[in-house]
Amino acid sequence: MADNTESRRAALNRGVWVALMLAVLTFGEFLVGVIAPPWGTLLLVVAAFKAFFVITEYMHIGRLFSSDEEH
Amino acid sequence: MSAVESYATKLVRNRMGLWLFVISDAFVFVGLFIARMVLLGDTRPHLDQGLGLGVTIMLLISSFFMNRAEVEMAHGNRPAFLRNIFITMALGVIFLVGVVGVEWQIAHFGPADGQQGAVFYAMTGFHAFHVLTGVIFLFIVWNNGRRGHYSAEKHWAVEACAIYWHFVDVVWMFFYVGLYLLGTPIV
Repeated sequence: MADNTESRRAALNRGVWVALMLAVLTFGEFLVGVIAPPWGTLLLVVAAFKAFFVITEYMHIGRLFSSDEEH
Repeated sequence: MSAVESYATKLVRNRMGLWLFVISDAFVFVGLFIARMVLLGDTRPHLDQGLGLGVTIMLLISSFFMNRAEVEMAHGNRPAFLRNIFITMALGVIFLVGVVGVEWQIAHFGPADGQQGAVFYAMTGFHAFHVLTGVIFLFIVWNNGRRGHYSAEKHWAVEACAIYWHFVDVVWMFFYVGLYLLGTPIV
């Protein structure tokens, strides 16, 4: 029971950190897009970085390759 | 081999199937993004920046609540699961209203107004259709959850719904940059 509560809290906290990071990066993108439009490559790199975190942390792509059949 | 597959075996197969669908669907979005780069190059449609940032933040927050919904169901907390998935659904609707109900109406060009119109309405329209599908998917999962379906051990539908919803979010991360931020606005 304690383990369950602990793992739930850890998973929720992880979700919060990912969301905060995405929010900061998105606001950064907005500023770069408005202030320095020629920096297009940087914007695409940041978008790819954000996508990587969503795919790994929220979509759990790792489960596709794990041997343990959770859930 | 057992005549009846175990839930775990089905789960592995379901995950593979869903990811294959997601990857194949992603190719269509990649095609649209390439079309944007070829047709508009270093320019972008003249759009409302505040609205663009607002709907993007809505979708990001919705992904956060979708993740919470999945975590809560995985730990058997049904009330929190229902609350979080309902918030996700509501944010999805707000996103749709923002793009289709507001941005499409206030844009200074229509779908037939040259390359920027074609690119903008094709990209946002195709994506909005996916968001609408996701909202319907969320509603079905929410309604099933309300009626007592799913458990901490068995909730593949919740996981599938989450993967689909996050995929729609990932697509918008690139579309937001492509439509609102890359290049200089077409006057």
